[in-house]
Amino acid sequence: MLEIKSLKKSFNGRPALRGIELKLEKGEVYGLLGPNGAGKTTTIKILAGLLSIDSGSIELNGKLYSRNDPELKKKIAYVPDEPFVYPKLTGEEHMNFYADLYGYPVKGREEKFDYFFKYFEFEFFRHELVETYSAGTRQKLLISQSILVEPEILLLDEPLVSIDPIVGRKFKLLLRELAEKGTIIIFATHILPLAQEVSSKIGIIINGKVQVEGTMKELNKRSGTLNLEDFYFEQVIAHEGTSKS
Amino acid sequence: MKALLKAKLRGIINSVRNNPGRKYALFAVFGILILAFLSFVSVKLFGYIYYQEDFPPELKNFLSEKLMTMVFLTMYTMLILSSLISTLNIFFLSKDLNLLFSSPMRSGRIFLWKGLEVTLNSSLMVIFFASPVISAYLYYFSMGAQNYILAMLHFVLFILTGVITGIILGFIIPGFISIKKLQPALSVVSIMIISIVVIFLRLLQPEKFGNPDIIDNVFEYIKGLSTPFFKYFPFEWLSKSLVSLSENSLSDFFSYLSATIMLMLFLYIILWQLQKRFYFPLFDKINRGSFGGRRSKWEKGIIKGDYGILFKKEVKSFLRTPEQWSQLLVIGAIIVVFIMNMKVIPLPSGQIKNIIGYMNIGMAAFIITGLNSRFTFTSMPMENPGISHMFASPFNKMKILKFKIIFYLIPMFLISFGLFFAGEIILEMDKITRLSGVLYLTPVVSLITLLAFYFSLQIQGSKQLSPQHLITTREGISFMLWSLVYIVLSLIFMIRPLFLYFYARFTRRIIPIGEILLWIGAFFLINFLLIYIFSRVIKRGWLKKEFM
Repeated sequence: MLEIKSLKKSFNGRPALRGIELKLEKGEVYGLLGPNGAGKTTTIKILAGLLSIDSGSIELNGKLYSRNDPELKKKIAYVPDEPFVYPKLTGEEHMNFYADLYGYPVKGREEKFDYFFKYFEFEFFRHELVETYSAGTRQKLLISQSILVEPEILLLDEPLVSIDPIVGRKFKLLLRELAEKGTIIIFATHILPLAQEVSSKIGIIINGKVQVEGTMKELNKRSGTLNLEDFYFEQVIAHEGTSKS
Repeated sequence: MKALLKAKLRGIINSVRNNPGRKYALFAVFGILILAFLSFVSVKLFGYIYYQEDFPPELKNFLSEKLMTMVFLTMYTMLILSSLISTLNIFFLSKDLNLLFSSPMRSGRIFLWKGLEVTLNSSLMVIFFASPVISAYLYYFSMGAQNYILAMLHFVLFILTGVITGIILGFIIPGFISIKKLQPALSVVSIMIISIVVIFLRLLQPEKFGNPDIIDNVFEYIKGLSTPFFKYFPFEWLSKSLVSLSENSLSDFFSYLSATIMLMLFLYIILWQLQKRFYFPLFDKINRGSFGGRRSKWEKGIIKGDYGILFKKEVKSFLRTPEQWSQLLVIGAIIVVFIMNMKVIPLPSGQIKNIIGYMNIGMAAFIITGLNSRFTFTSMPMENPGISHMFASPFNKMKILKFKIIFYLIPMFLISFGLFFAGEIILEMDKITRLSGVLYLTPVVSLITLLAFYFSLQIQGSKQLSPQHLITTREGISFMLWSLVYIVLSLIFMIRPLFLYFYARFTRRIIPIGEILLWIGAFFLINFLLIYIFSRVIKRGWLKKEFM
């Protein structure tokens, strides 16, 4: 179980998160929506250990999370919004490197690699330097390596950017499979249909705070509409207007 | 064209506005110093020829012409190579090409614009280096504003022929070799040329120019130089035309100028035809990407365990980046020059040898600072944002830091002691000087390397920056300055025990071993404290590092 309490973070005195609250059980897929600069990436980066927190706490299975605790971090894998990689490694070397960082056993890696390279349709580039990859192929590599290490929590920041619809569909199927196995998935996105399709729970973050949260059913009930897009616009306008005034 | 020019100018203005004025001031100071040095050498050289009463005017002109031909030949080679590399970058790999070709702008205009960019990129250095030579020659031999304008006109045309030749080569070569492979190879070639020039300049032994007897021999040597096929090349036309200006032979000047113009037009026609026929097919070929096999066994490695993972990543990345490792060639050239310096400097006595030997330890420390500035200081920011994979993983962060320090510290020790022992073998230093060198370099190299890490951690942001950009940041300049201050102070500190030893030996007194040991002990204690403090600060900064 993952629990975030009153998470606050500011950059040079400018608040980015103003007290995020989040509670997720095993197998939940949490879609984090919100306008640009609302705090989605900051929340995900904090969970990934790339940013420190000013105040608040994060608990993972009842244990206090620290960004320097390797045992806890073994349970978390992260796919960034910008597909950054080591350009001078080949795709397979990059996967190997990432697996090594997580201490993932060497035995059976080849078969796993075969699976991911084939599943995401980039076997052709397996032994090519990553610098020659397109943005979409880089994204496939990052997604593959993050799933490879079998994390308990999978953090995805804009996972479908640059990915073609066919592979995108395969990716969504894989996410469902992972969730069924008990992986907690948190993903930030601007693609509302993706959130609607994949998430078991949706949170709309505005001005550094989760303003609305619930399952699709609950959100539909609250809004009285089946359309997430309309509801999202309503919420953003309402809360941004409130904060500005 | 107007829009492109506007965008370019706006980009330059914005970058000037967004960067601190100090950075530009520092560049300007460096530039002025180099220009002053080049002007000084040129004025001295042409002045020497001009004031030789024994030389008839024909000989003076002949010598000047030969000297200028040598200079222009070097410049022309630089120009062609630089233009070729710029062509590959600007015409084929530049990121704005997709935008430009998808715009309604005519392809001929885009081509012209790109040509202009190549011209500017490749010719600025040549203008910078050649102007003092031309000005010094004209100052002594051919005064007058009109002559200066004519000379500069010919010089500009000379540059254009070189640039166009480079572009033509840049259009032919990619037809046979992949640009993505060729470009790093060319960078290596250009760095090799720089290395050879560094060694060549040292081999010339410029200190001999201080001796009039030897300088006469040099001129005899230049006089003997005869390369008949040079007359077909624009570098000789330029030097001959400058000489004809000094002889007031305008008809000769214009004939050389016409030859350059004709050549330029001829090259331009060839280039235009080449671009019409081959540019787009080549552009397509390059942007199609390459597929190949680079299978390697990841599991194999010299070092096992956690450090082995980092070692494999670091070594593979380093070896596959020729821009990085090719600079080792320059280091090699510096080491050769360092050793040659010791060999050629006449040292009258053993004591002076020891002093020079000691000063060379400082020189080794300066070289280590330069290397740290290029490699250690830039290593972590250059790994951005990839390094965040490691930060997000469960991998022990302290191990990453320790690995980084060891990975750069070991080569620094090897190079510094290599330099020191090379000097020691040549100079046959006294035992105590030898010992003091080892005692000096061990903490100094460690601290300088740590300083490089300390300043590199101060760099904010998680975007990848180029080494050139990084070295000229405030942190990069601060590292260089503080390292230099530290080296000078530590050299002064450590000279005291040496002085005590040699003074006692010279005056045949008892060697004050206690005092010497005290000084050395204090040196170690201070350095140990500094190393400890910086290690703590680096550790803290590293663990707190954030990726926004």
